[in-house]
Amino acid sequence: MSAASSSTIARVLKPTILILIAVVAISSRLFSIIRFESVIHEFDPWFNYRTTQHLVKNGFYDFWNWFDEKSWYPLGRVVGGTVYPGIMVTSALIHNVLHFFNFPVDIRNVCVFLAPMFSGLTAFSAYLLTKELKDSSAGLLAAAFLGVAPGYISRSVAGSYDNEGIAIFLLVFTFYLWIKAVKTGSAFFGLWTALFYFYMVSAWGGYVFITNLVPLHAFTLLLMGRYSNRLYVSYSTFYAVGTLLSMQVPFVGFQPTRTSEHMAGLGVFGLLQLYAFAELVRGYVSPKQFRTLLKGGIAAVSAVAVVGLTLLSLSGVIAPFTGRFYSLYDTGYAKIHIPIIASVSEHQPTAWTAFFFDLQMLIFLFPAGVYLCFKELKDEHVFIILYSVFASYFAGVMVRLMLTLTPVVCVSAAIAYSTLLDTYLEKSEHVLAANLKGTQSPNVISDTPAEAAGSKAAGNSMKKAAAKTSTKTPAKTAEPEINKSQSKTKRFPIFNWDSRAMVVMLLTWFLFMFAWHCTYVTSGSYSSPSIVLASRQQDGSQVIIDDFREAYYWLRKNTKEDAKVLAWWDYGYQMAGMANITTLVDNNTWNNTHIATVGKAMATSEEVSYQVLRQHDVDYVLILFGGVIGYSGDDINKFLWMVRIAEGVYPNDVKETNFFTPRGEYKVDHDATPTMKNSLMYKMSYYRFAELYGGNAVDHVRNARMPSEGPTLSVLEEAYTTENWLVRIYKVKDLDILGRNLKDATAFDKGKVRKVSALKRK
Amino acid sequence: MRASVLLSSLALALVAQAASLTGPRTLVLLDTLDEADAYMELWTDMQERHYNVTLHEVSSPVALSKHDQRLFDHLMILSPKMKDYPKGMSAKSVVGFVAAGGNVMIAGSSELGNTIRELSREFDVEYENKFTSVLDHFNYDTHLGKEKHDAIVVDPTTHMAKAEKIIAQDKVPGPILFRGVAHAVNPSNSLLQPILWAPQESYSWESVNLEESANQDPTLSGKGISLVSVMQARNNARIAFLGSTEMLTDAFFSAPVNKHGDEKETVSGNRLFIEELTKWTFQEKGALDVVAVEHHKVGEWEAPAHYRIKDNMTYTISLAEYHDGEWHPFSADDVQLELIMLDPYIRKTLDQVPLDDQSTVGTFTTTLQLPDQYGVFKFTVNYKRPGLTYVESVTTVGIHPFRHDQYPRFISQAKPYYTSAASMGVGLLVFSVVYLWGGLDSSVKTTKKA
Repeated sequence: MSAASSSTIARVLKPTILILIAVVAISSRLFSIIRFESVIHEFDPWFNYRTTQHLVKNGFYDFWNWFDEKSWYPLGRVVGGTVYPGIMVTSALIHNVLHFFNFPVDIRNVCVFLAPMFSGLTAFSAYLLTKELKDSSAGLLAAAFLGVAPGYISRSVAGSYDNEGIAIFLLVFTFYLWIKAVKTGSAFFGLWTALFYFYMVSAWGGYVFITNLVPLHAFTLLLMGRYSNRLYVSYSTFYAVGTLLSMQVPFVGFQPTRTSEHMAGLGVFGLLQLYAFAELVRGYVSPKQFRTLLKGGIAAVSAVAVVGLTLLSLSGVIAPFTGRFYSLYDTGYAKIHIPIIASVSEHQPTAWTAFFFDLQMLIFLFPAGVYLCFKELKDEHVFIILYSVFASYFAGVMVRLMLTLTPVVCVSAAIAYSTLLDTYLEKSEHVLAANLKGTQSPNVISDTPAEAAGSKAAGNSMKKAAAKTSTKTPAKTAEPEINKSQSKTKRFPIFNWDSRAMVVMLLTWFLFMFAWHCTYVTSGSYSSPSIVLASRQQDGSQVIIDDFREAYYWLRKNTKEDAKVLAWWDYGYQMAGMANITTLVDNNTWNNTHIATVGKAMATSEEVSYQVLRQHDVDYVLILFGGVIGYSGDDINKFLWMVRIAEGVYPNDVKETNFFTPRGEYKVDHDATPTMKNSLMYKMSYYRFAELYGGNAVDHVRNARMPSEGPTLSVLEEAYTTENWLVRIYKVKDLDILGRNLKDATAFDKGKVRKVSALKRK
Repeated sequence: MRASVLLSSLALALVAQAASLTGPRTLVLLDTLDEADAYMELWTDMQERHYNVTLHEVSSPVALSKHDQRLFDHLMILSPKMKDYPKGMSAKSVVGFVAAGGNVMIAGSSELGNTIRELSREFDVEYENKFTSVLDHFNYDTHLGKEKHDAIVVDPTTHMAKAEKIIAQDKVPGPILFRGVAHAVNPSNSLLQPILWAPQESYSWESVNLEESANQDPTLSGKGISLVSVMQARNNARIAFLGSTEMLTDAFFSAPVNKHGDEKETVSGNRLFIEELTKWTFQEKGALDVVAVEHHKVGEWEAPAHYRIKDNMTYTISLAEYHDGEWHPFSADDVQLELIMLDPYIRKTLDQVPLDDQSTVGTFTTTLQLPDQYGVFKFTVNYKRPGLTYVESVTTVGIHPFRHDQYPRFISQAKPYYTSAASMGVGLLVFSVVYLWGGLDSSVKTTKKA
């Protein structure tokens, strides 16, 4: 095969493969649509969807200043200032462009398909990033891995319209641009890094990861004595422009100058300036004088920095680390201090099995890839090493940060896998020999123009061991030496074609297993919209449980327009999005007191609760009850969190210990404590539950045999219960027109007449 | 058997001009129809006020409502002995009648049965035991209460509630005669209010065996004995409780009163007292209506979709009061506006616009600056005064924060910073020009760096 033709083939193949990878990435995310329908999933996406609708309908100016009266009643929410607008703006832009070309695509479909579309772009950025680290074949592997890795799919299936859907693309692409900027030392790429950093800031709170990782990279390079003008130019451009841009997002505002999370970037920026200045000074003074100057300078600067930072922190100008940040550092912190953060399942520490579940074989290849980075250890490899170390730690602390780990795992694994393939697919043994000796192998096809860059990099790295600064030595100078060494090496038995074939076949088998596993996990675990549940009956037929939408539809159609519905915050976004009613609390948990108030309404007796309900003008109360069909994510199971959060604010009204039996058990049956039995949540959940089974009710979630006499309700009346009892809606009664308490009024309505009056004094 | 004894064609013709706000249809429950004769003057009075009175005895069936529609506007239960409700009626249906806006007047007597007692209990009114009466050995009428001292004389100037909107003091000229059972009201029920109570020396005791010596204290005595009480339910339906059916009779209406110990003979004020009481109970007066609520920014005339914090705005509410068969402008000096978001942020008394001859409504208005707090606020006028219907006007309006372009673009305090930034930019520009084209030989340095 001639060099020219192989280059042509590569030129055709690479885009084709990349397009195919994108197609696979997109189509493997469509399970939920094929199985259910084109709907928005879960909780947060419903808010994003609702704001996108607002943006499309009312335009950007209105969206930017949107004050939402329908959430956090009666406080309201300044949506424009408390939201990362990236994803909404992206969707609206796509929607408007399509409409400009007269494609009447509904905004819902744009939202539903946004994450899969961006996963294609993510795969492409993974290709670019890995290409910078090794070569384009590793890049293709990385693209393929990231395209189907369940760790990323979990947040980007069709309908999962969440910030992470586009943020992972931005994360990977920003890192690519940063590496490119460091490698070339160009202000142009530094600027692009800053621009994409801005896009990332506008899209996801996880931008803090970039804000810390890039300065850390620069700092590490500095410590390694690798300061260069390239680093200075790229970092200064990135930091100055990126920070200014990020401050344009209202939600971020002045945080980059005030909070501790952003201080690393500022510190490294200052350090770089000082270092550059020192370098400049070094050129003008004698080494001895310079040493004295340096010592004095370092002492002075560090003294000023320590005093300044302490003063600023003490005076409160620089905010201390936020709770969420502490919980990253100490996994027990949230549970003790901020129950509202601990109550979210995605903030829990990751189980060990999750790593295998989400990454399968990549998790084994990952350390190998990091090791290979160590072997090479150019500036960009340092970055990947830092990235992998920190992302691994964070992924271990919080389940949802698995998402930031996945890209680096894919990149590292691709490097490792590609190196294996390079080694065992090579036609000539010299590569193997070279590898065994610990030197780097230039690719055989490296003389093709497409690979020139890669081979140059490889050639450079060899030189680099000796000379620190990168030189422009042509790769060809290295080749004669290798040719010499090749002629000397003997033929090792394991380099025979059969043993090589075994390794390659095994690797291919792994690939198959990986693809199979990814598909299995995606279809089985990550493609449930969670607003529609599917279960299988004994005969294997599928039953769709659509109670949520049934309940929300009922609310939409049967309540007055400004009806206020109280529910636990988990359902706030869904209720606002689907039922279009006013909610008291929602998934944007910004006001702990308000959430605690809702918790108090749920956890206290009817009389106390009624005061809360009246004060907040509540018309309806909505709860989830899974006791009939065995849905374990219901409100009784979440109840202890409500109690804990309420206790944090109202310690006199709610006490967690009162909800446990003397033996320390959390019971709902006969043994339930009086506080539990009197709580509004318990009453609402089990109201008329016993009647359903003629007095022999069994709660299928908690496997508890319920008392035959169910609880009674007097301040609420049942308004609606869905088909499978999954959602129950209660209407809050008005004050009794005759001034009785509602308990007596309810008793009277049931035909009980007050026989003895409390008025009689004797 | 239903007997519309006094249903005259004249009354029918005047239905449209009925004095009551809610309607003329009145159902009167009597133990037997024969008793109707005792109340002739009451019927005449009511007929003059265009009521369409249906007399009914408890033994025959009657329905208060049909297809969830009230069949009557007012209910008078003058059948204290009633053991069971007429067929088609129940305690629940009476409460339902009130809930549907019907007005009720309940009168008891010493022979009050349990049916009425249990019904009253739902209204937090407790009648004394059967066969007890209010007795008073000092303030009794020497003629009617000669034997048992049970026809007591109550002085309205001292023992009647000073609620001008229910019964004005000057409308009742003479003392009120009362013979019947005592009742007590639950003081914690804010909807309920005693109108007439017994003199200090009175007590409630069994009126059958008066000769036996008492061996215990009476359960109720003095001011604790309510003789007449009224309730205005939260839906503005009105209910009156009387301890005596007799005080409605002709015999008491215009009886000469000879109070024990008083030489002078006066004329009973019962007739006018009952007239005022029925006028109030059957909503001939004291009804308020919110005619209009307007609010807008100062200088504008349309209500905005939402306000901005610290806006100046004007709130106006128009109220009309119903009495004497038509609506009049309402005047008061204590109507307040509250801006509530969980707690009241602003509470301000509204000023009344001076009334003139053309005024049909009383207009109350104020101009205020909204608080520096965004959220969904309720502009509430919560006006609840004895004898007047409850006014609770709630207007929910959002108060929004400033938009991003509503802040001042440049502030004077920051001028040093603007200067600094601008000079920096100019400096960079000048430096670049000088560096690039200023003729400096910079080639040595640049090569060094690379």
